[in-house]
Amino acid sequence: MLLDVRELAKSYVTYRKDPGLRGAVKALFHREKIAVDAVRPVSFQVQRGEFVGLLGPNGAGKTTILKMLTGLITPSSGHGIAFGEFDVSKRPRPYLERIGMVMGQRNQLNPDLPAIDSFRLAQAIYGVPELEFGNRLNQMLGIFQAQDLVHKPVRKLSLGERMQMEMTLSLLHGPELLFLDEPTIGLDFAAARRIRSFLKTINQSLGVTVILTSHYTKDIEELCRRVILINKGVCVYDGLLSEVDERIHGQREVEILCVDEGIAQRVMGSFKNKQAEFGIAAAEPVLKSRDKGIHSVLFSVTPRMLAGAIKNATATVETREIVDIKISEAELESVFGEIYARSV
Amino acid sequence: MRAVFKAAGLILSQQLSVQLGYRMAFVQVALFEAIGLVGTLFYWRAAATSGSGSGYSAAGIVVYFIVASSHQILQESGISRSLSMDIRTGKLAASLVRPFPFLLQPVCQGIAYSLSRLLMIGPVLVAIFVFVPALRDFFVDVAREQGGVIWLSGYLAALSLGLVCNLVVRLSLGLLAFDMTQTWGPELLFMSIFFALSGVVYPVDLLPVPAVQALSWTPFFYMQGLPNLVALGRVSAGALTAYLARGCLVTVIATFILVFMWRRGVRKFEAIGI
Repeated sequence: MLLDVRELAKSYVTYRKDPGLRGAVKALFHREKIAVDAVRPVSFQVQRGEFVGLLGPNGAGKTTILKMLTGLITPSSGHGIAFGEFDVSKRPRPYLERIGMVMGQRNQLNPDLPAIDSFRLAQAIYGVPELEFGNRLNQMLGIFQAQDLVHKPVRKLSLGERMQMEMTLSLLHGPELLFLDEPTIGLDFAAARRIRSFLKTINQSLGVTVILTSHYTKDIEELCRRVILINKGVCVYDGLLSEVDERIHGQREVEILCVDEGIAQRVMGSFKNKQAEFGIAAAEPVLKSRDKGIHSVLFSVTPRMLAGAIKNATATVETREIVDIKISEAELESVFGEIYARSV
Repeated sequence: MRAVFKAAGLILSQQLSVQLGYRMAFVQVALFEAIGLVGTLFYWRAAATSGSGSGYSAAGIVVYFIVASSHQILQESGISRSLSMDIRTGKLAASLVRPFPFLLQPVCQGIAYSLSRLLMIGPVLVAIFVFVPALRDFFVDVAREQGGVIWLSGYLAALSLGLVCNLVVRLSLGLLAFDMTQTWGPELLFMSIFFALSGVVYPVDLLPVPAVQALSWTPFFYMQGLPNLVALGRVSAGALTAYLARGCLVTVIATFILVFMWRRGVRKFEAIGI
């Protein structure tokens, strides 16, 4: 086992300030303390070679977990043991030598110098032999096809090019465990795809274990076999992405558009009467108002139940009272959203 | 029109809230103004006493300003802001996951700054010495009176001590970012004291002897005052030895404070992040 996380939790104190000038003056003398549980006890294990996605909405606690795992912040309770011997919160040097970290919104490269100078500094810091350094650099740049970029000042690189150099920098010392905090943030489609392709290669070919946080479901779908969903500091799901897919992603979203609200209410009532048969008791149908007085009813069912559900829902209304029926495959984002909603 | 005034009033109120929000910085800026005024009294004293009992000729005052300006150029002043930015913007976090002492980076940055400035002003100083004989003669006289090599060695020692002391103090200022969002308040406070008491603006030996003695227990005296005075040959060999010993002690204490601030800051960072 590469990483063993047990009951890792983090809480801290922040301050509340009343709005306006009065609040600012008041805060000069007194500030109200608020205790925040950024991460409630979470436990998980990561095996060598895994690609794990740490997902959750903004403020869920993903980055806090990542910071605790890299020893940047000390947990309030619990612990993480890496490589079977290192307490991550103590940030021992042998541990730091075996990990890498890329923060999408933080620069490690010197912006005023070409990337090669930052690479050379990393070589000196980690004591990478010249031959190993050269081979590894060529390998990374080969994957990106970015040999020309290393001699340009970093500040003249585009965001995507800079991220390629950041990735290269973080892997020059041959880390076994790589932490990525939103590495594709702000990147365009092509640049993000290139980063994803690179990450897939280093995970599959070089065997680097990766723990990734990202808001982009495309990153997750393409890269992560396993996902850990965090919401409000609580781990709400830890398992294979394919299981999430089978359990919920296999559903169809149905929208029945009706001529007015009364008809829509009847459709919803009919669906509810038979809802238990459709296999997803938790997913309540939703009534929505559309343009020109049209109202629609939205619900999700498995493909097998699709025809029956539509037939039952529309059984009590006339055909002319139905404007349209739209059927679509649920997206991963809405699947995650549903899991988060269930966890609250 | 009424709506415009109402919105302007709201903007004014919100901007005041922003200023008051950083409460430490607010108090420090308020103090800065007061200290600036007090510092002006010293300038007045310097002007009033020059050439009359202070031992400075008009030429001596001019040379002092050349020396003080040169030393000021050599001392890195942006390093505290750069360090506080690194801490606040997360570069610290990115660096802490590497097996390398983070503080060495700003230290090297400060040394590189001084060396680059030396390269810039070196040719200008040489040209001044070559083309202004009166200035050259001034230093030749000082060297003759002070014992040549001993004077030069003493000057280089005082200058080196000043640069180290400056680096330590500036880094400590930068580390305040662990405790406050805006560090410009304490920086202004520091700058006001620095300009008033370090010898950048006027020779500190214009101050009463007890004041100079008191100053010699602070880093300010060593950052500018001592190297300036030694360059002009206004410190005897015996006094210089005592000052250098005291300066080393002050710098060591300042370094301990720096290390303490760093360790405390990193512990705080580890506790809640920034």
